[in-house]
Amino acid sequence: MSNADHADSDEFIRELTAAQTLLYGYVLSLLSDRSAAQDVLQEVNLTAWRKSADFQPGSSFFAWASRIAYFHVLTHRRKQSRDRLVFSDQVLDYLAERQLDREQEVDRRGLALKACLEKLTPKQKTLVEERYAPNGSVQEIAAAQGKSVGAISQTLYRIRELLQKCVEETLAGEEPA
Amino acid sequence: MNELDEILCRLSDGTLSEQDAARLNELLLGDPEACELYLNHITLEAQLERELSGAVGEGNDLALMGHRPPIEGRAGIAEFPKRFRFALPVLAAAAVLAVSIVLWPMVFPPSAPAPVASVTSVGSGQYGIATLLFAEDCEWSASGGRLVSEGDRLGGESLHLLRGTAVVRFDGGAEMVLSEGTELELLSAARASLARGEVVVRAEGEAAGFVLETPTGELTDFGTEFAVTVRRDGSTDLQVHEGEVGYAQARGGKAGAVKAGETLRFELSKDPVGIIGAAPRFAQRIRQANPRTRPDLMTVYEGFFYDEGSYQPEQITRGKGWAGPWRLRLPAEQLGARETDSTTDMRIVHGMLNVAWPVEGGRLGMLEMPAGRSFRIRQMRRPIAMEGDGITYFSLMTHEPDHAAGIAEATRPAEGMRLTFRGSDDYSGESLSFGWNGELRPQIQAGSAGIFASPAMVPDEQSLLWIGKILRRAQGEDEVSFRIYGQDDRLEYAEPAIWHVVSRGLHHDAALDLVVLSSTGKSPRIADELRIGPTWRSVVPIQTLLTEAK
Repeated sequence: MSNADHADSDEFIRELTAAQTLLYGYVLSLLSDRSAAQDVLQEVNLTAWRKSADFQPGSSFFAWASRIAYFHVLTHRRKQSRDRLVFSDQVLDYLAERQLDREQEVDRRGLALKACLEKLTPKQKTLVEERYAPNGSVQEIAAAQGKSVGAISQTLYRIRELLQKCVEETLAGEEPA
Repeated sequence: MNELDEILCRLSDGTLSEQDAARLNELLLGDPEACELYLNHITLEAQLERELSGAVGEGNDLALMGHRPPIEGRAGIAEFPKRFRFALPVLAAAAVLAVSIVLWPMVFPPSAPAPVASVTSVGSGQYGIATLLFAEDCEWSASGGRLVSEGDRLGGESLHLLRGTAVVRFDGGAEMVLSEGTELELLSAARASLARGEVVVRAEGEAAGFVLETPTGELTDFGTEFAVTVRRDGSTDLQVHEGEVGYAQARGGKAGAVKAGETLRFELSKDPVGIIGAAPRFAQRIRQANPRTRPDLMTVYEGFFYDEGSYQPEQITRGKGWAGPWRLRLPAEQLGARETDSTTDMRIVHGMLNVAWPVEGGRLGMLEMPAGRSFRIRQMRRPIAMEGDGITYFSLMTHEPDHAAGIAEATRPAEGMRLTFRGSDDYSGESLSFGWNGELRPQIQAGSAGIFASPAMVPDEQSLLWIGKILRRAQGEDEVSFRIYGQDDRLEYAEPAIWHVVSRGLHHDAALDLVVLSSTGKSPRIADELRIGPTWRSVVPIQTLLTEAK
């Protein structure tokens, strides 16, 4: 492989790595199942790598990769029985299209979230970290703290509301007057 | 909290029901505002997972994951590792979720319908993500999680091996030898985190892409074998025996790839340095553990060691783990009008098996199941208690006659042998039956719980070795697996990655204490060497030790 080819590969890897959160969010929004989304994302990465020569540098990487993701989502849905699907075809298509339009917004939301996490109290931040750590679950946290699942669920709901509000306010503050 | 909020809350908590899912779809259909709320919620979820699931970097700096163009295969044809999981050292580390759907590396799916699961399954998968393949002289730390034994299915959990040698096979295909003093967290079917200790990983072909997290960063396998040592201070040595391993240091450090023959040492906040490595190969580690057969662990054995001739069933009394001799079925146990025995004796023959596997027995004294229909029962002293937790393996040698000589009738299987486990307190109740169906395909019948069949066909006119595994769970599904080995199939030191048949959606509670050997057909068939025990090695002779990874 020439130096130029290596440079292209490096750039592709950078693009793909940078798009992981976007792609994961895209797949998760369509499947609504985290473990399925994780598996599909792995397949998407593999296909994207195989088709890397098809990507036009300078064009929207997410737009290109999300098409690959969309077809992997469809493949995954075909393998599931009907009673395991969350969304109808109409809702799925709408969500997929909306996600494409939201690319820039989702990026800004991610940056805003980082700052908003720092505004949580230490106790709130610990709870969120425990919940979203690998294998974290409301049930386990409740058991560890000796509280009901409902209580932990409510607390997390309120924290998510706080974060969402903070993110929205941050985005609103960025909008041109 | 409105209705949509409540449903999204349950979605986040992993408690979404089928009704919730249907209602969510209804709420979103034709309502752009609701869709925006949903998308904002899901985006927040995805970003929290990425941000908080062990990110090893910060900011927008991207440490490149080591990558290479397609790896040259042995034939000189470029082949790409099928599973290539990119590590995300910065900005968004890969969210690590236990899979809810088991990634059995099985070739042949069962014919029974898949169980209906919760739409969003979060947390430890019901089926697990790995198998404890081998455990020799092991002592596990109880504080590191539950105590595990050979054959156990493992979920997203921590293993702390105080003493001994263990091998874990991840459902993604990677196999890992753990040495004593190792603390390992299983994160998914293709990901683990090594806090301390020494492991050797073999992840070839389809298993490539396995990711091992360490205190100093992440290592990604590109179809290879490598050894990793993590010390108390977190410093990490990576020695690549074969193939390549990509690395990405924590906190935005360096990224690159390490090739076969190279060893690097990683320390936090320092560049990696090359060192001379001396870690053993995967096969070497296994050999050092001396994986031997464990017939001492067998709980039930029948070898039919008798002189040739006809015996009354009650005269066949030898063996191990039995509550009494063999017998015919009682009238209440004859479940069908056509199921009458063609004979009432038990005929012992010699030398009718072509024993291709290194097993004692199988040469003298074996049971000839006569032409026609034959049912023989023997009660075990200790039942297979399906209501609790545990693992039971069995093996049985058989000889299958030429099927062409007994073409199947249109409506009934003309040829077949079955090994069935039933309960003496409820003979017609729950059962597990192993054999093949009318199309000569390996099959598990789980009574009313369903039939699971393989597309593979049983070879005829040769000796066969049946091996089954019954993994019982007090909570959650039981897993029953079955494979039929032909004369040319090799037996390894541990159970196979691929079983012919695996059950789904099974949950038995009965105490199965009866062994029923049955045969039907126009030709006699042979059965011998029935072994039942708690581990693979207790029932299966080990033919070969590991060969070096190619």
